[in-house]
Amino acid sequence: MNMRKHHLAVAAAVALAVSACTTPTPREEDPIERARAAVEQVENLTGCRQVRRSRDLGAHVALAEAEQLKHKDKPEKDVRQAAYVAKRHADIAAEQITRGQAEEKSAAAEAERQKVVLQAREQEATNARAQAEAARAQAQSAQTAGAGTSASRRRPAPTPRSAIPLRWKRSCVTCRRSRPIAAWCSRWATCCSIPARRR
Amino acid sequence: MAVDSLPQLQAAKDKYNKAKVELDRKSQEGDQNAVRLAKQAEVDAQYASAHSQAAKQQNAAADSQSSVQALRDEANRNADMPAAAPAPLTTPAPLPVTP
Repeated sequence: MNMRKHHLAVAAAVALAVSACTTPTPREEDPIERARAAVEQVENLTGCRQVRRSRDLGAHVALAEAEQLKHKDKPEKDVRQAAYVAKRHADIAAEQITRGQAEEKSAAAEAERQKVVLQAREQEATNARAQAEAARAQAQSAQTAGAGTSASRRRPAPTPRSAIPLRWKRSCVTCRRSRPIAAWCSRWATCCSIPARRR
Repeated sequence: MAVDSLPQLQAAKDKYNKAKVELDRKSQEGDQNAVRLAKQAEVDAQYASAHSQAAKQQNAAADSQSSVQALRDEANRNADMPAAAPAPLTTPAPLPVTP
């Protein structure tokens, strides 16, 4: 007998729990409550204040209208209508806030992109400077090492043309250009007769 | 997401069509229903538009973020890579000494 009572109590408890889970709460059923929940949700969103101000206003006005209609025992249709409009205004405000947040993200991504590009260019410039510096140092060390060992056997650095004294130059009879005498010692008679590729 | 594919927009269109039907009833109740449905259609269409724009902007933001991430990865790869060392300079061969 006691066992049967126990089973009945358990079954009643389960039935109660199931009915509690399946029965919609008044807040879900009532259109005004649903609209109010949507408006509160939008108010809690962090987003563009401008958007919230304009759309919240519409949602609040419609919600207040719905509450007033209900208070005055107006037809259920009208109450539902006002609540529906209020909820939609809240939904629109939420979407506009989402859009504003996405725009902010896009702007931040663009700023980040520019920053990354700038950093990459700076890095490239630094690398190029380092390479040039290394090449210069290497060339300098090679020159120093070479000067000590075979200074007498190495070709002297070419003398700049401007440094050649004028008396060692002879002007070409054809083109009147001065050229070092060494060039005249070759088999070429005049500078203008030298093929262009040999000059 | 295209605006036309939004269910909210379809709902708005349906309500607008119902509003026209109600208006054709030529009765006070029909007029009231038509006004109600037209108002709902209006806010539904506004919601569909807002939803579409938000989704579009979110996609654009996601694209921007992923492209920046790819750029950052590329820059990091380039930074990690050692700079190409200059080719070692060879000492010029000495000229043959003529007697």
